[in-house]
Amino acid sequence: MIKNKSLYSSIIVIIFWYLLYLVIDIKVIPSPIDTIIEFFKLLKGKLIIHLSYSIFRIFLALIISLILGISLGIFLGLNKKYDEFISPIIYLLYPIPKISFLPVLMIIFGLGNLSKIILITLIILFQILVTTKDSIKELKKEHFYSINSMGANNIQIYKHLIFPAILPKLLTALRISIATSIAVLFFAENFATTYGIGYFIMDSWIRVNYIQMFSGILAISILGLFIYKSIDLIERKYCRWITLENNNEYFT
Amino acid sequence: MINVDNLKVKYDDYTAIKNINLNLNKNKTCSIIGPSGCGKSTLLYSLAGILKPFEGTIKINNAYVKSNRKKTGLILQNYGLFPWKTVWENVILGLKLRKVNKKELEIKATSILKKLNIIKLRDKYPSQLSGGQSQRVAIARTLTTEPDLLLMDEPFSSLDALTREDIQKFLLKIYNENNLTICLVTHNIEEAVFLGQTIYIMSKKGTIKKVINNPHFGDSSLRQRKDFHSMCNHLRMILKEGDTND
Repeated sequence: MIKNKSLYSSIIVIIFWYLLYLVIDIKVIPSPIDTIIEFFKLLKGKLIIHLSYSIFRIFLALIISLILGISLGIFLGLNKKYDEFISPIIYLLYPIPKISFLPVLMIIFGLGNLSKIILITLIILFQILVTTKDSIKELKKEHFYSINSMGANNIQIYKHLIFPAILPKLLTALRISIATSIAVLFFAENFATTYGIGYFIMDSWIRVNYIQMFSGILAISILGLFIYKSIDLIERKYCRWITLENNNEYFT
Repeated sequence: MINVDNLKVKYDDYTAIKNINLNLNKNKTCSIIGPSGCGKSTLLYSLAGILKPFEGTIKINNAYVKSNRKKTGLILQNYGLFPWKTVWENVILGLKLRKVNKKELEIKATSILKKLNIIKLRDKYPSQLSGGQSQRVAIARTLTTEPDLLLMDEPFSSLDALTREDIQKFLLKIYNENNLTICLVTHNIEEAVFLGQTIYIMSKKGTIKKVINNPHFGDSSLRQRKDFHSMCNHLRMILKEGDTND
């Protein structure tokens, strides 16, 4: 069923693309069929290298943000006193478009991978931090009383209470921030690098190779799809209760 | 079983309860009743070892209560079930935390679910249960750890009248079968009379105003008797007295 949904949406997108290709009969929109063929050809060669660079940057940033964001989020969620001091700082920094720091980051951390990874980390980190903190705060004190009364130690409290409670919102935060981070990475990869899917697309554009450019765009879209599907999978496996609760609300 | 001596509990600068003396023998029940905000839940959480005394002492079986006690079961107002766990996972949680092996856990939990007539619900999530069902699950979860003392914080407040009476009768049955000692916090007069052998009445100031013995306790058809209603009225009078004094 779900596989069918992905297939169905892909077909719709390709049909629209094909219509555009037919109507706007200029080179800048290549035929989807040519593009897909080119995509698979390139995938064996240089496209996979560019894609791997981008995936590496995103995943490293993701892991760093998850570790920092969750631990800091839990700490602030559980310790009101620190939260009162630190939250205003977070809210001050949160709305700033992090990409505007790219020049600063490039000067401080160099032109290589590090500045790009830090930039993406900054974007994802805040989302994760804020949602983790909020979901901890939403926990009722009864939940803590009830697990304490059963004699749970700290590790057990994290395992049975805190992590399951933050997971659904964490996944939502990831969904939102990953789209932004891919977009930003695309931009960041236009500076001082010769590897990455962003570079690949812009380079193909400059070379007026539109089929290759669209193959790159296709690669980004598949990368996004893959990440979203993985998040969905985790959600279906570990957050079944959330879907049930939402359904109940829908019916009542 | 429980000996509370001159207990005082504070939240920062606010004194929630003071001068509390409470004694409860093994295999007896008591209900604690009082107006909202009188500190009756605070008293119960102190007995559970979740809140620490500011002054005075709490002893259970002659041992000071410093943190949670293995044989104390706590049932909360909103049942304290975890929404992300199924009925089964919720019920076995207490055993899991105590690292009981899988086989034993399976046997114990299954027999309790059967006894409470909720075995069919084992794969449901709390959001799919009715109030009465959730309450049974919460009781099951507590019973798996085989407590000798059951502390309950307004456990029936969100149930409709008939379900509430059913579950109260059911609790009485469990009490008789398992040699339990029960301490129940409530704001419901009938509940206090039905389930309390001793009834502690608290005032708004966070002290115990009066203690009455309830000779009618233990009869599951008590509600149909005249004594029950006169006892309720008596309790109502004492509670009202407090209001005018305050």
